[in-house]
Amino acid sequence: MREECLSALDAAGRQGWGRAEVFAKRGRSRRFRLGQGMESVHSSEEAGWAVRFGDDRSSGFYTASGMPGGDLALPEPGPGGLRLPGAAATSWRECESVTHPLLSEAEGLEMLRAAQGRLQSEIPESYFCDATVDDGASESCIVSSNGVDVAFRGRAAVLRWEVLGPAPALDRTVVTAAAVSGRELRGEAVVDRAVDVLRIRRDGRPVESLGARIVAVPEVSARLLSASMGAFVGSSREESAQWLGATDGEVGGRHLSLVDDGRLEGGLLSAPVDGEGVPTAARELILNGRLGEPLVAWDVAVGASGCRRRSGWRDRPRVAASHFFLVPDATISPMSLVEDLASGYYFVGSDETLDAKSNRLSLGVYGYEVAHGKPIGPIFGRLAWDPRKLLGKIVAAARDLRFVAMGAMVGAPTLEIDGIDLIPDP
Amino acid sequence: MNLLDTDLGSICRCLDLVSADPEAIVDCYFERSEESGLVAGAIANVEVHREEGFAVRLVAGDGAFIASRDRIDGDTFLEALRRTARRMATGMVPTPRLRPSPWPRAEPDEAMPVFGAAVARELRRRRLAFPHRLVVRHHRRWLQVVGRELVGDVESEAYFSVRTESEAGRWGALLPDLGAEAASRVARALGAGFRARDADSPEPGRCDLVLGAPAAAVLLHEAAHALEIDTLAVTGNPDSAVGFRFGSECLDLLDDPAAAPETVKRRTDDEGVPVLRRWLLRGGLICQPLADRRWAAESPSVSPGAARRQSRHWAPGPRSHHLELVAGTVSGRELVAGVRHGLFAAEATRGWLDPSTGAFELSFAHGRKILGGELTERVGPFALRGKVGLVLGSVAAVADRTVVSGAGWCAKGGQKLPVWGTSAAMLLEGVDIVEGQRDA
Repeated sequence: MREECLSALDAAGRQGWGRAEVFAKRGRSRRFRLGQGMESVHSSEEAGWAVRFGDDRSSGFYTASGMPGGDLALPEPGPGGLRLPGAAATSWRECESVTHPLLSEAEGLEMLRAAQGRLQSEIPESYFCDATVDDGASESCIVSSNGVDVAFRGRAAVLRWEVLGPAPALDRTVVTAAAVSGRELRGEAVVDRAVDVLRIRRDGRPVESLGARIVAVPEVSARLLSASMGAFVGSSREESAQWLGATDGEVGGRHLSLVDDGRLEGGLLSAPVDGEGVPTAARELILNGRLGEPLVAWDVAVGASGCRRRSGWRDRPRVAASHFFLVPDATISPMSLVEDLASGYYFVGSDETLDAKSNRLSLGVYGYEVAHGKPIGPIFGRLAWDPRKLLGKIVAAARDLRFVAMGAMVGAPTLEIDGIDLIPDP
Repeated sequence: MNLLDTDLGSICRCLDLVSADPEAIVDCYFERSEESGLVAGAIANVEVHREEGFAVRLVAGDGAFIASRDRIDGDTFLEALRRTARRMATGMVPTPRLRPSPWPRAEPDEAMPVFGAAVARELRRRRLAFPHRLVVRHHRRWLQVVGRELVGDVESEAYFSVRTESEAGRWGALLPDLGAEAASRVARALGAGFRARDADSPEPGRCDLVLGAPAAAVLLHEAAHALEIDTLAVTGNPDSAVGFRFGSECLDLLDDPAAAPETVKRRTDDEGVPVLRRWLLRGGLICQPLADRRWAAESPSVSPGAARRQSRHWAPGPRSHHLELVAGTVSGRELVAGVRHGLFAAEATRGWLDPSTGAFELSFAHGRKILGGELTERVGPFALRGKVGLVLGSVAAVADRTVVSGAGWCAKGGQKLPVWGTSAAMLLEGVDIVEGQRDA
């Protein structure tokens, strides 16, 4: 693939484009699907490439499927100059799971059948409305006229299971999980999360409470946290501070640290460089409660680490988070947060999507009322919050960091949050 | 444009070896697409995206197997065929001669560079000038489906997507062309959003709502999701839905891909099956759900011809292409005149339907209050919320003039597809309005 990219770069040069960058990516994936009385297996092999070309005054962007070659047919460029980063040395140790083979047809379908069997043994007459497991591997290569010459591999597996409870209620829940390789997905644990939510919907009571104290498992905490991510992406430190209402730089307590790490060990999106070939690094967005440096690219802040990601070969690089997470506290166990809760709520599941109204977001949540550290009954409701103020309400983080795929990988441990509203489901 | 330079008969013969089951669906979907885009106002940020590939599919019994690839050649086709067939010995079939025809030179449509200026002129005609960003994309797609005994014609689609950003928020639309009427529509939407940029949301509660034709098209598209056979099957037997009352008596709704705007109309669907002029609702009663080959094989009361797929990397599924609402008998002015206290929304920003519960929401960036039969002050974001059957049941009248438009991008199941509509303004009586979100 590198040779093909270099050949395309040469071709761009021959056409008079001394400033050019070629990005190529190819991958294989398998999608296993179960639902509506049908099992399916979809094997994809995708390959494509993109070239950015231009000079100080004009530029263009061309993408095509397949692999690049020496016979480029670039379109006429338009006004607007092109800047490309220079080459930079970086060390990189590939995650071992990257080399794992994809799930076989038998393995993928069996994972789904076993999960549906477990679901129906827990809640008879519940079923997968639409359940998918995707397992994929990719290789990428970037070369540029500025000397960037880098290749790396990626690996990702995600599952999304949409579950319907028994009639007549037909309660619906969606559970998701992600791992570097398909064999690392823990289907049984994911089913158990769906079962918890369906039981709570069946047996629980709706609650309302203003300014509640809650504890939320990582999958719920990550969804709450995801709404604050935009404050740190592509904005200046001053803009971030203003949005968060933290003009003195103080965002939360000393236990609050937020990081985005493009090379997180074992991370699904980990890579040595970003989509332009700039080396990735961990960046402290909040350190011990104080605002750090937001995610900005090399052409905005000198020495900035790589944060312009490409979703695929069809996409231009753009500033985006990769592994955005709240740093866990290794000394705190998740259950100790519940046991220390005198009065409040413990949420073990949530809806998939946030609802936005004015400056408030809300999310359907499912869990238990807690008194003196003990769950006393299942409840459900909607958490409602102002994303600008959420970080200041986090009072403790446990050690169990987990990630949820939401464009970027958003990670959080079990969190204790004080002063968040529970409103009725509309 | 020819898509393939090949002997399609040899492809049919190869496909015939995939399964001995005469009931099995075996086909190959060849596809080529091109998208060129630019930020209008200046020819800046020129983008051209081109891709081609194919997908081989076997559906037999309760199993489906698909192999999709990003290149078109004989070796790749044969490899994908073997993966799909699962039991096909190497060497049994000679490699077919298969190659795509050459691409034409990549050139943006000639109307694109001047469209921004045309919109600006239309805004000035409305005495408006404000900073805005306009992104125009030209989408073109060619596809051909080859089955064991069938070679479909090459189908093509060409259309434009427009996206604007301004102080008033974001707005987008699909347009069959970039003519004067398109510039006028974009300017009208931009101007209305700008004028309502500081308006407050209406009070939540129950009231009458008049929808303009573009907003009605989005409503009908979301409602049509409930008439897709896979959606009906989520909660019951799709066959039993036929004859069920799903909307008020004044609703007559069809899906007719062949009657879509000239550049996007279709003779066959994405499975190569001839499309139908399909009555979805007649007098508010469900007639013929949208179905593809797989579902039609299981349900005797439905016909295929409504399969769509975003690309070769997605499985086809039942989806509407071009919805057509039968015009009513009253004028749009009369619809408004009949409302004492209510709201008017010309355009909807998005719609959403939960197939398991029928919960439905249609969002609007802005609108107007109606008091005493007259359009009055502007209002900010709001949403219509309810059960889809109840919302359709609340349609009290349909206007007598239909308008062709892009209903927008549909994203059901993660597949992004353009959807079209010929719709008319309509009056909904006593619907629930909730607070909306300003899209800044």
